[in-house]
This record gives sequence, structure tokens and C-alpha cells, in this order.
Amino acid sequence: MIYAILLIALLLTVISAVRARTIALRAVPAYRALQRSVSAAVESGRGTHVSLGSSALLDESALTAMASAELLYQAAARASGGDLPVTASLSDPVTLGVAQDRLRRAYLLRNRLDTFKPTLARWYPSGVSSLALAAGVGASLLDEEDGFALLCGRFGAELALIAETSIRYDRDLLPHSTQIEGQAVAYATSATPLLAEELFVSAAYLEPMPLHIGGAAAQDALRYLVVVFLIVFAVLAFLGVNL
Amino acid sequence: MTASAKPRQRLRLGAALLAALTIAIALITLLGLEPVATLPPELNRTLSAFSQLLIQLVAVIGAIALLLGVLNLARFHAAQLRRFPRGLYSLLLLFTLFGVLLVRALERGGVLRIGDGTAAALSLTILDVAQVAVESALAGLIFFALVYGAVRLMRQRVTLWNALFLAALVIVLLGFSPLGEVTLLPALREWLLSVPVSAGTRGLLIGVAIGIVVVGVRVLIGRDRTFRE
Repeated sequence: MIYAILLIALLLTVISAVRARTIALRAVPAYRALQRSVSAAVESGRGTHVSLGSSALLDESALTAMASAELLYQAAARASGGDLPVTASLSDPVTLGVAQDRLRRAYLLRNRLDTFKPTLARWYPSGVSSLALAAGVGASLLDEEDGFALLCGRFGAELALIAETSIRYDRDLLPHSTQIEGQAVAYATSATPLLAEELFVSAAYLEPMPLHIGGAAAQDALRYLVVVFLIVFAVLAFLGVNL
Repeated sequence: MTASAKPRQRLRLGAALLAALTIAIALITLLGLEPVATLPPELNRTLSAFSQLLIQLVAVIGAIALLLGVLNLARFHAAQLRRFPRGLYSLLLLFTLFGVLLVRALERGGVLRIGDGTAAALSLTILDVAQVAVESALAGLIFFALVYGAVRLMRQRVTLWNALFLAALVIVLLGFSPLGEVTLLPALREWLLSVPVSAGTRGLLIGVAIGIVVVGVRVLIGRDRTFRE
């Protein structure tokens, strides 16, 4: 089953990538807001903070961590030209290395590798939930004079603590979570939250290369396929067909 | 210059080798974890044993990464010490870090022992008293932070969806309260949780799963940024 799904996803990605020029991606307001907020932070001489939450390379959220690291790179590539540094935070020590690598690549892209320090990506040890991370990020937003907080990856309800700090001190906030509790808080605290699966297509919107566009189109096509299957199965179940 | 305006890079040998290695290991791990029935059983067993070995190696890497994480934390806060008064927090953190490490080392060495040795280790007691209590207090604040955030959002811009969110929040919270027992609120809360909330949850989780599959394909074909540049 998993091989069939992967094969379908691969085929859709490749076919869409070949036809990338003719594909118009649906609008995602969060990515427009991200570009606006990063620009505003740079122009006002403030920093940008990206938190990956508890996304971890060593558990089932590994690919969420990879997708969050990609969004970290995209945000840092735009913000690393500013006066204040781009910082990152997370609660998984293995993902720390990936976050440092993405920040370094972003600074290299801007020819500002001299201002990059490995401690720009920070590890906050956490227990079952990420409350220590939430407290640390909230304090860091104020200490580092960050103007924009991007929260992407795995967050629980503790996202509310970071959001509350951002709202109270007038920091731009773009929250996201792959967890239901975190996503609900993200929706309640931001006018333009990044919604669940939109995290995985960040490169298609922020660095539109054929393969990235192909991946985003494949994701949409797979979603429509799932919707069709669900409707068909629901109708068959309603008609009393035993599958 | 934005990320999209980046000049096209030439393929580097190191990146190509890394991509080839990643693709091979990813496929072997996948085949080991999800055996293909048409392959010979002997091959399936070998692939499974190899993938288990790889997973064990990853666990070792995790332990080393934890050490690097602690060093990262200590290094950052040591640099913060120069900034007064903010450095006081960092001083407290470093003091606690090295204090707990010292206590744990003394316990392991048998120098420090509480009572007759059957009591919980002092380092664990410190963790329970400090971290668990503080985390519980923070967890209690989440509810207020959530309601405050929702109200602030409504003050900035009132939309149909924001109003719906606030209404659902109020119904669910009042439905749990003793006041709600005499009204229809508990039944309404049950319906909200079992029908629209359950459907929305499944929709979001299916979306995330599809996103993960697409990112998985990108990693499997060696097109992730780690291997591409």
C-alpha cells in the first residue's frame, strides 16, 4: 500500500514538474504575509525568530522537521540581510544540526557568513510538551528585539504562550502546527495562520522551481483524490454496499 | 536578493554522492520496514536486519546530539552573561545546569545518598519540584492566553469564522461547567465535538499525511536541500 501511494505521489510530482510553467498554484495568504512581515522586520531594524517546536528527526515528525527546516531557510534567506540576526529555536537536539545548517546556508546566500554563529539556532530542552520551549521563545522575542515570529512544525496548546507574548508586545506572528491543539490556537491568534499541510509546500511559493511546484500540485491532486474516494465510499455505504 | 533569485549552481561531486547514499539507505530502510511479498524471504530478512541496525545507529547519534544540545545551551548562555541585567537569567540557568550535573555525578559516584538509599534520587526530586511545578503552572496559563488571543483577534478584525470560533469556544467551555448541566449546552457540546470537530480533525490530519508523503518523495529522490546543494 505504502509503495503504491509513494509511486502515485512520485508520478504526480514528476508530471506536474514537467508542466510547471502551466500550473497556477492556489493563493496561500500566509506566504504573502510571511514576505510582508520579514520585509517589515528588516526595514524596521528588528530580528526574525523561527521556531520549529518539538519537530524531531528521530520520531514520526521527521518529515515535518525537514519541511520546517526548509521554511526556516526560506525565511532566513530573506531576513539575513537585516541588522539584527535571524534566530531559530527547537526542542530536539538532532534537529538542531539541521537548523544550524539551514541558517548557515541562508547567511552564505547573502554573503554574510561572517555574521553567522552556531548559537543563532538554540536548543531548549523540553519534556512531554514544549512548555520550556514556549517560555524560552517568548523571552527570546523580547530580548533579541525580534519583530517577527514564525512558528512552524509540531506545537501543542503551548503555542498560545508564544502567541500571547507576540500579540501583547506587537510582534508579527505567523503560527502553524501539525497538531490539532496547536493548529486551533494558531487559528485563534493570527489573521493569517499557516494551515496544516501548507507547511510542506513552502518552497513552491517562496522559491518556485519546477520540482517544488510539481510537489505542491501533486499534494493538491492527492487531496482531491482522497476527497473523491471518501465521497464514493460514503455513497456506497449509504446504498448499503458491503466493501 | 531573494531565495528565488539565487543563481543556478553546478552539481558538486560531494552533493551527488551524498544524494546517492541517502537514496540507497532510504530505500533499504523502507524495504526493511515494509517487506515486499514478491522478494525472496532471505532477502527480506537481510534488509530487515540492516534497517534495524541503521535505526540503532540513529539512536546513538541521538545521544551524541543531546550532548551537543547541552553544549549549545551552555555556550549561548555563557555569552549572555555579559549583558546585565538580562544575563542574570543566564547565570541562574548555568548555575542550575552545573549544580544538577554535579548532584547527579555525586549520586552516581555513591558520594551523595539520601536516607537509606531507597528514597528517590535527589536529582529526580529537584526535577519534580522545579520543572514539573513550573510546567504545570504554565499549562494553567494556556487557557487564559488562548481566550485573550481570540478576543484580541476579534478586536482587530471581526470575521464570520472568528465569530464562529469564539462561539464554539464559549459553548464547549460552558458545556463543561456545572452551570451547563441544566441547559442543552452539554448535548450541543457533545454534538460539536463528535461531528464538526471530529470531521475537521480528520481532514487536517489527512492533509498533513499527504504533505508528509510529498516531502518523503522529495527526500527519497534526493531533491531535499541537504543533498541538492
